[in-house]
Amino acid sequence: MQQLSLEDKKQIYSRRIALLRSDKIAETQKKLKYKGYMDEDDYHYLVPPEGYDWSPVATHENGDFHGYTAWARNYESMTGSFPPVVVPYSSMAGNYFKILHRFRKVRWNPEYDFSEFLPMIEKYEIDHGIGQVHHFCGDVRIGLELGWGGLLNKVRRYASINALDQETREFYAAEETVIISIINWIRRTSQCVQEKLAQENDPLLRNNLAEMFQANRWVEENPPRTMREACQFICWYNIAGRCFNREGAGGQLDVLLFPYYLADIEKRLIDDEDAVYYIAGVLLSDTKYYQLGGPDENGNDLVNRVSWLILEAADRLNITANLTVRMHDGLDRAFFRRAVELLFEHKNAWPRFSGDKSLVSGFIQNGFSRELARNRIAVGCNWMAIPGVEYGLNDSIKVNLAKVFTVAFEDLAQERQPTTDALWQFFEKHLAAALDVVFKTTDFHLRANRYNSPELFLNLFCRGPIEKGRDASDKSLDYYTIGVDGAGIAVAADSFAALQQRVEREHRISWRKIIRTLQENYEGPEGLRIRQLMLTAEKYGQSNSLGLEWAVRISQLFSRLVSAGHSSEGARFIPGLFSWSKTIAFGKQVGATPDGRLAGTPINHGANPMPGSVKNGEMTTISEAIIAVQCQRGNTAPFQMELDPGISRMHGGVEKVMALLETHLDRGGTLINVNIVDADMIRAAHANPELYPDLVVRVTGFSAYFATLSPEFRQLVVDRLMEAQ
Amino acid sequence: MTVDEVVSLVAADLPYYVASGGGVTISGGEPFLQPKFVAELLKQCQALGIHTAIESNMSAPLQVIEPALLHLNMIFCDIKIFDDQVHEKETGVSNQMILENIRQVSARKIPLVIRTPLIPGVTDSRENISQIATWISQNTVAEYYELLTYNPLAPAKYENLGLPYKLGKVNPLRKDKINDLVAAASACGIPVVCERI
Repeated sequence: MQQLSLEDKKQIYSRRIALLRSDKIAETQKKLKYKGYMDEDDYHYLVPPEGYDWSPVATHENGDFHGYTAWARNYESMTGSFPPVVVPYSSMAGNYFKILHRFRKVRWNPEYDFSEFLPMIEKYEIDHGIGQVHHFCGDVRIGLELGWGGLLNKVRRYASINALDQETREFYAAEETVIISIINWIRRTSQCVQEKLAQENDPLLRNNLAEMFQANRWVEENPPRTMREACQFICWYNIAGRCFNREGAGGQLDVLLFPYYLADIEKRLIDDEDAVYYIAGVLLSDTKYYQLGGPDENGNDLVNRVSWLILEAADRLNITANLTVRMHDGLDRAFFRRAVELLFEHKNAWPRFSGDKSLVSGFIQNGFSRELARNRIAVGCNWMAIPGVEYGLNDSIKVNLAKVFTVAFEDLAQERQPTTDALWQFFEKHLAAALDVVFKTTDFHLRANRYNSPELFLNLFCRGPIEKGRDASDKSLDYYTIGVDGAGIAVAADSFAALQQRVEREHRISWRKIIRTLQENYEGPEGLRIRQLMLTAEKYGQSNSLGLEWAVRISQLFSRLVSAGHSSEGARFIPGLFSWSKTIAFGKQVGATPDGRLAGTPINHGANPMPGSVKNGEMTTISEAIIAVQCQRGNTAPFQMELDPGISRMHGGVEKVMALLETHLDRGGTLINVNIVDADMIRAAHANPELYPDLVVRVTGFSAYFATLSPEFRQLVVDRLMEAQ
Repeated sequence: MTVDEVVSLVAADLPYYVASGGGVTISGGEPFLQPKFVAELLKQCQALGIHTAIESNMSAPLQVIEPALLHLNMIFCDIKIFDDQVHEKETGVSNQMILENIRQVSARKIPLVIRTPLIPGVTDSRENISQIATWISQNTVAEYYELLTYNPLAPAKYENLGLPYKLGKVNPLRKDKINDLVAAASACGIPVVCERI
């Protein structure tokens, strides 16, 4: 390949990448048939071959497996069962077929009883932290420096120092098993590459397979030396971590790869075309969340040549991708522009954009330094983390504010003289009670999760667990900053606002009447009339509205209560507003609400207003509302932005979107997810999803193939997009 | 709503206008059916430093339009058909007042965009487009001349309102036809824009 001109090489690599893309789309279709609808991210794993049959060994009478040894041995057995995956025209080898975590029958080891918390968990239907896994970020640099062999030596070295009791011995033995499993997996794959090489006649593919073989053989145990080896190592990191417990945090990919790129370029081992081809392989290995650009500890822009090549690789691959550009004052303008152009060109909902200014100033509020705050990068659906040192359980713990509202409203219904002031007091009381359960269950998780679902993979890539002989969930990292997300803020705020406006100020309906109407779910002609009345009250999302006032009040209360949360295990709690893809599930928990919402219907998405609240989906108005409810502690309240593709046809459409993104993030926004989807196409795809196998939408923080979403979820996405257009 | 209420809503988005160089465009219906409200709104927006624009068919008398002209940074208007008789037949009014208003606006040096919606069988003849483009080049200093491809949403809107859609079913223009019309307009020496090609 190195003898070819850059242009010839580009053609060959682009053809290969296009083939990989069509393979990927075909595989997604296959997965849909095999697995059914998936209301979640697409991780790029493969459908197992015909006849594949593996299941974990149960170590508990409940038929499940818990603790260090059980997870390690099942991981060893599962990865050993995977047939090697080698595609001759891909730059990278390896893939997987199953995720061990998905075989769990229960979320928690019943030997560690948490039934004392259940009544309150059920009362508020809280998504608590007990038994939650990953949702923090490994520092892949640890692996890049040591290689799998170096990691194994490290584990053995610290075992010889720390393994003084049975539990610690078990911990280190399990870590050793995990690493050896991965080394063996890579070794089997290397052998497969060698076999394919022997069978391959095409000289260019032979060349590729030979390089693939060398890279894999080297990274079986050694730290990578070249760009290709570094990319191959990262692929194994992605695959091995994802199939352990669905771990999906990437890192600052441009910075991780830059030293290898630079060294190879200086030695003339590769050119940009090779780099793009390798990076495409990394992006295809997993839909990990990667941050691009942003400031270093001193505020200097991190955009480098590799940042551009990552965009180029994503451009040619054109599949689902979770790339986040971190906006800050010093961001390379040309890079920002290119990122926005790609949103328009592919309409595949990447990249996303995070706001350094408010993320940093918010995290500092928790008592951390600016330098540390800048290291906290976008690596998840809605979340940031400092790789290798921070345990956050981000995007795992959620309090449905709409549910808390309805519990408060039930109390109010018993009052002789209901008022919104009284309702607010009930809401405050119940939110505090719900959060108290969150804090206590998090402590419980931190005390006992290692006996349930230890973090054997991410432990290897953190600073502390191996050194101390303790799981990441067992306080071996530097920072325990537990994310607590509020969901359904618009439902709660609009409900307060509708009651204040229609009942108290305008006297259009009595308290008794609205209480009864809600109990009857707005049934009958009179219910319909009252529903219209409540639906047309002032909503969150509208300028200077009562809904906005209540949303700010709720956000401030939530932020204050979460930030003040006490942990006996030394954790801090950080508030954010995010529903993930649970808008439907959370909605089913909540009866009819005074905002006109019917029982069981979805709540609002993230920090966005309820669909229909903002006339014509005006972006600047929604933007200002979302800025107003930010929790200002370093976690996000993302802006889900749905744009009409018509804007690209306008003069300066790209510039206008750039201005909107910049202004939102400059004025206090934290994260923006963008969809640009044609209304007609999304309707047609909803009717016949199989005809649109490559249509990608950003469902929430993650992107997914539209065809793989369930009809119910597709409807929700369609409604949201139609609303905007 | 009062003008103050509208201005208050507009002002909330001021940071976005500053960042994007955007502003307020008053659209319709026909804005000059409410000339006093429009003039006052534009005046207050300009006082806040917001760029102002209007989309109008310019078929109101000049004295009705004039107060608003003082507070406009940009005007978008249509010339649908150049032949006055055909114009009257298709739209119900003569185009003479429209053309005169456009001439007056241009003389006041207010940046101007002139547009023709390409309605198949009505406005899409090469002759019509050439005549309009020639007139623009001779009588105005328009920023550009824009050809708007036919928007197929109208029949559904009429149906929702329970009104008959007299134009009937219309097929979208072919790309080569649009290219031909753009070429005809460009031959008159003015900048021409058509976003769909």
